[in-house]
Amino acid sequence: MKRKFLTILLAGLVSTSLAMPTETFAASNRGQAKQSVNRAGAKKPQNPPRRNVYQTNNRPNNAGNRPNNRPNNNRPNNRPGNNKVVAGNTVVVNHGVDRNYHGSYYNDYHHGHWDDHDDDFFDTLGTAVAVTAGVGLTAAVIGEIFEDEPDDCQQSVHYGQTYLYCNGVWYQPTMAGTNMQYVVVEAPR
Amino acid sequence: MKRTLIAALLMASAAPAMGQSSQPQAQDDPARVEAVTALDELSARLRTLDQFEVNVNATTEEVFTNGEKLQFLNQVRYVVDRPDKLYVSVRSDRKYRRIYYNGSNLTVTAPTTAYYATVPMTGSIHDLLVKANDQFGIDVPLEDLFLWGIDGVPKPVLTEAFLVGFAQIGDYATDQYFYRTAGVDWQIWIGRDDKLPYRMVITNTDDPAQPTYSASLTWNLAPNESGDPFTFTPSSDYKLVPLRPDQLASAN
Repeated sequence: MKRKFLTILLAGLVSTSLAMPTETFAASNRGQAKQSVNRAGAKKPQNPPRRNVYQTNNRPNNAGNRPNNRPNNNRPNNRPGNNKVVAGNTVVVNHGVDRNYHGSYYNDYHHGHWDDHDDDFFDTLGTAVAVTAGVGLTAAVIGEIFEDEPDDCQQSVHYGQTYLYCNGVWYQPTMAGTNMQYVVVEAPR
Repeated sequence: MKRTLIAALLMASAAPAMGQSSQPQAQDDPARVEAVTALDELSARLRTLDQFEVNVNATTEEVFTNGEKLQFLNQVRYVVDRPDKLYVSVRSDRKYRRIYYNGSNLTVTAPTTAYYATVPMTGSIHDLLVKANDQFGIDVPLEDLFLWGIDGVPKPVLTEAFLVGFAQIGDYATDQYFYRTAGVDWQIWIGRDDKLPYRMVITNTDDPAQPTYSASLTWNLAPNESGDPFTFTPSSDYKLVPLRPDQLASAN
């Protein structure tokens, strides 16, 4: 009974995501409140990653579920704080809608609270590449920085450092300021 | 007749600096002098606190391209033991970080995902905040609580300062003050008895939408923490990650 319910729920969510409009509105974060009058050091804070606001009139309103569905849980970033996808340099290290969907459902909201996605609440469905890239793995670029923890990772520790191995790509989680970043690296020896 | 009288009274009691022309406030304007004195007294008071805990309930705002201004909640907790021990917990629905400084090491943890990063660090709390910002781009909310009144920290150049008036915040009688400097307007509600800030509202005037950080502060001047709250001991599920030096000169 529970499994059937879950299947129906997932099917409902997947079908809803397929019904999403392709025209999307995306806005970037342009500014935020200062949380101090003075700043101790000379640097501006490493801002939370720029995010896009996804707006649609078709958003399903499931109580207790995320209001926006995420076909792709990963956004490639070339610089910290910059969400722009550079044409020709796209890395989609995640997969078809089904698997992403499942991954997103479990990763994002459970036990009554949001997972820590480092301010990555609003996703960018306006990036045509992410949506149409479809199934399969394209080459990952060493040094590329992601702001979300990739899906389907296995953790390992080498020489005291933590690495994640996710769908064929090695990442090193790092902390930049207080923002988590996942950097594509070569396989640790 | 009555309506006119009331209107006249209201106008007379309005804060003197408001509604004036765009003349800058004179340096010797009594309203300004009083407000600056209040800020100095607050700073002096903060400097006398050697061990304390502050809990902050705040809202912060972010502005998007078309001026959509969204509000988010956050909670901050400080535990302080001067001169060189600091614990900060900053928590929002999307991000949870704890910062530990015990005079020897700075550790930043992400409790929800169980990552932590640590670097050696020494110096006073002020030194820590400067180095953490310069070297790693780290900062904490309401840093002013640790910067105001410290020798060598430049005071903000105020273009305006005045008393707004009395405000009762829970059990505390406070006076509300307004201050303006380039890029920031801020208001502090200062306790009449103890000169502590009970509320702070910081408005970013660099952006036309003026996103604001609004914070309620609860003070505990006799914290009794068991154990050592300033040293992080990772449990087995915590994973060590490097703390990345901030190479961007003006990190966006």
